[in-house]
Amino acid sequence: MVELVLFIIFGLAALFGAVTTVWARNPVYSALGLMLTLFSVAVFYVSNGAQFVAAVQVIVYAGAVMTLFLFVIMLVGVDRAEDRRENLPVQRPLALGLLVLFGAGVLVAGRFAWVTGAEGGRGAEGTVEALGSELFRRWVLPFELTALLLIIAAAGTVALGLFRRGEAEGGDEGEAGEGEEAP
Amino acid sequence: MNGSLTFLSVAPEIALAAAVVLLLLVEVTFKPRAWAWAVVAGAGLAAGTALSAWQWVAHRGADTGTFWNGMIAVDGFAALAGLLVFPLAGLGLMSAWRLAASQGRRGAEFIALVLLAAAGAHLMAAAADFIMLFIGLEVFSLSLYVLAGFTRERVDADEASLKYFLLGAFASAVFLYGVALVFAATGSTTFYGDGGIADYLAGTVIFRPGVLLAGLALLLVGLAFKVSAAPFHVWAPDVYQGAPGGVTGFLAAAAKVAGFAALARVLTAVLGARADDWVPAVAVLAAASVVVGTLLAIVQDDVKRLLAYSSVAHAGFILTALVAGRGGVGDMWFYLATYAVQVLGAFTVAAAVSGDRAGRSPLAHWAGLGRRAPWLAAAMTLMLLAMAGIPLTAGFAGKVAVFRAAIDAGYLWLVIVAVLATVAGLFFYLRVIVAMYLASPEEGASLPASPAVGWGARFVLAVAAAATLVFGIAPWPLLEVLRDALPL
Amino acid sequence: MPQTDLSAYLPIALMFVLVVGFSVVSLFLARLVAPRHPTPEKVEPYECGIVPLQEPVQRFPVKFYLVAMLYVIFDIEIVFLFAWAASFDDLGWYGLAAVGLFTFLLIETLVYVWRRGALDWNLPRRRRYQRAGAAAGDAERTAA
Repeated sequence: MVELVLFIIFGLAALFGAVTTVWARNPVYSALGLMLTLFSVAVFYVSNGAQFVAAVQVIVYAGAVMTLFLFVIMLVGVDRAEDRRENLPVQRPLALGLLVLFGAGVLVAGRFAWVTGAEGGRGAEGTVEALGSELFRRWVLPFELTALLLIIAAAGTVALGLFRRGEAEGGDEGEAGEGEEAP
Repeated sequence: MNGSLTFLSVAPEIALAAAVVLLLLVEVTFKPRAWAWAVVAGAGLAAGTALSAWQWVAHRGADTGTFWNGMIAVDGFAALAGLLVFPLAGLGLMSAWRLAASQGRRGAEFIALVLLAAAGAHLMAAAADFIMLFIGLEVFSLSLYVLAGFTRERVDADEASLKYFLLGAFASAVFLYGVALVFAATGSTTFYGDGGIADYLAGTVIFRPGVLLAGLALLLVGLAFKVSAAPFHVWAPDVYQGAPGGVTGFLAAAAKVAGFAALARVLTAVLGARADDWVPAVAVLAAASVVVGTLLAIVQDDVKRLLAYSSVAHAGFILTALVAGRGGVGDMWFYLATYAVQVLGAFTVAAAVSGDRAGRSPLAHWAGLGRRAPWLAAAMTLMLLAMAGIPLTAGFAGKVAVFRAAIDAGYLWLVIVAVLATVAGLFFYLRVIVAMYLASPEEGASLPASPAVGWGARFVLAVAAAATLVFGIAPWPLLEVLRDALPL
Repeated sequence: MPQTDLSAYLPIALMFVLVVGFSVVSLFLARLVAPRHPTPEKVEPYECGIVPLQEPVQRFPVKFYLVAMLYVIFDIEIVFLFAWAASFDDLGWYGLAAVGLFTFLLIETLVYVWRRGALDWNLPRRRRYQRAGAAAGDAERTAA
């Protein structure tokens, strides 16, 4: 019962946040809408027993990643109005139509039912201890391989961000793109 | 689970990761000259190839064994993917060597990213769990996103990188959604073993497969994006054209190999029990790709863009082999291996003609190439004829193989569409050849300086030409060998 | 469906309601009570009392972005260590080895980023890299 009430409240909140993210004209509102969605989804995680994922969601996504988003928004400029015209005006209705078509196709293929025969997943309890054991025993290889993703991200950031445009051409020693911050 | 084999199952990845770590540490510590990068990268790729060869010898034709709690598959399929991807990365580096060396110290990052992309591609082929497949996909894709915009000189290279990243991230999300739905339907993300997806699907009759089919469709969309099959190809022309000339060849070849390896394993081995559901979808994708790719390639005036649309058509030809299910996987490998070498060779020539940092390669650059650089023009002609499917080239043998597989599977209409597209495709391949040999440069047109070809690029072209001719004249031994490279 | 006992989260829910309620009430009260007499001068941005002449320059140094990006990368990877710490007793030496390998790659990357000069705020080392890069590029072109 509690779970149902929570689901309805935060489901609506998540939807509202998602729609705000897409539709808001001010990118800061978009970021706040996304944060609302992330929080609401974190509540679902908790109510499904995945406490650790919920904590990570709040700390990493709503914390670090959203900070970075806001940071980029502020760098680019909040007051810059977004050009919402599209090259292909039929794009949006077309996308919506195709989505409906896709859903209808799946429904037909599934003989008008979404329900399947499989029982629920065999996931472990979502506490931090249980997740730790599971992560480091069964999923240890994917865990180690995420370190490769870290190396790619760092090397890519350095390659694209540290060296300035046209750097390999030499010259351009000055502070042209550097713009020392004013005191 | 026996200990030593566990580590040997991921030995190629370990070798490449060690090479990357060594490369980056040596780079920041000693700031070596460029040849040191080549030594480290070559050692890593050679080790990866050798370990894959060992896996091939030990496991070809045998049942798939899984390690790391069902995360990694060791079989002929994965070993062959390694034998293909690691040398391909080596050739790609040779082809792009002048580009890498001209980037100053950033060359080290360039090489590290190519090595990581190769490791990711092999992981995609060897993954025995959807989570592993997703991590492999991300390792592979993220490296390519950065490489596509690596030179940071031109706006269209930035555009290519950004477009590839945004659309690729979207495709990854679609793929992940598909994984989630398949998990919901089958209760597992693991492919093999007791309670794995293949096991569950083989032993269970699902009366209402809606979620499973939706998941299957989303998986297909995500992977079709990676191999640029129509209608999920729209990123390919802009990315192939915008990316620096030296990068495009590796990007095009590796993306096809990795994407199709993952697609073949997921469809034939994991979802093999649901073949009746996905074969029609794959057939439609194949037909759409050959038609769209061929028709749009005809109207292009830029050789890199033309090759991009032709690669969409080739994605369709390779998908044609997959409608035969497991029986077509050997033919898919043959087409994939020969096409990967051809496309790398063709883009290597394009990089030589228009510059290895340049994005565009308009047809005007190619006018009179037959006189200015006869060897380059000859190599390009061979690659184009092979892609067009002229007899005595590997392209012809590959087309015959995939068409036969599709006919055996009862898809005659698809083969007819593909043959018609092949005939129409002759037009645009010949157009480039005509420009090279019969057209003369326009008066006062500013051509790039005489095409500069480094030793690496020459080697790549020699290998590509040799492979195209040898496997074109005598394809049977290779086709026979590839029958052992099935995901069981 | 595992039924989770959600009563432990009641304080958080109450806190949530309290925060939302407080902000809504204070915003509403401010609207209601505060005097509002806007003049053109009052609406201007405040710059130490000086009348602003132009929009602030929009070009920011890329180094902010670089550091923020690197921070997020390392921050995300650190999350895994929580899970290890929580089940440390259970995992023992095996867990230490697994985390050790991961941490080695993490530190290796940190060393690389550090020595590359990506963390230098004031650029002397970074500029040296760029000069070396430019020199290498020149040498390459002359060789070609």
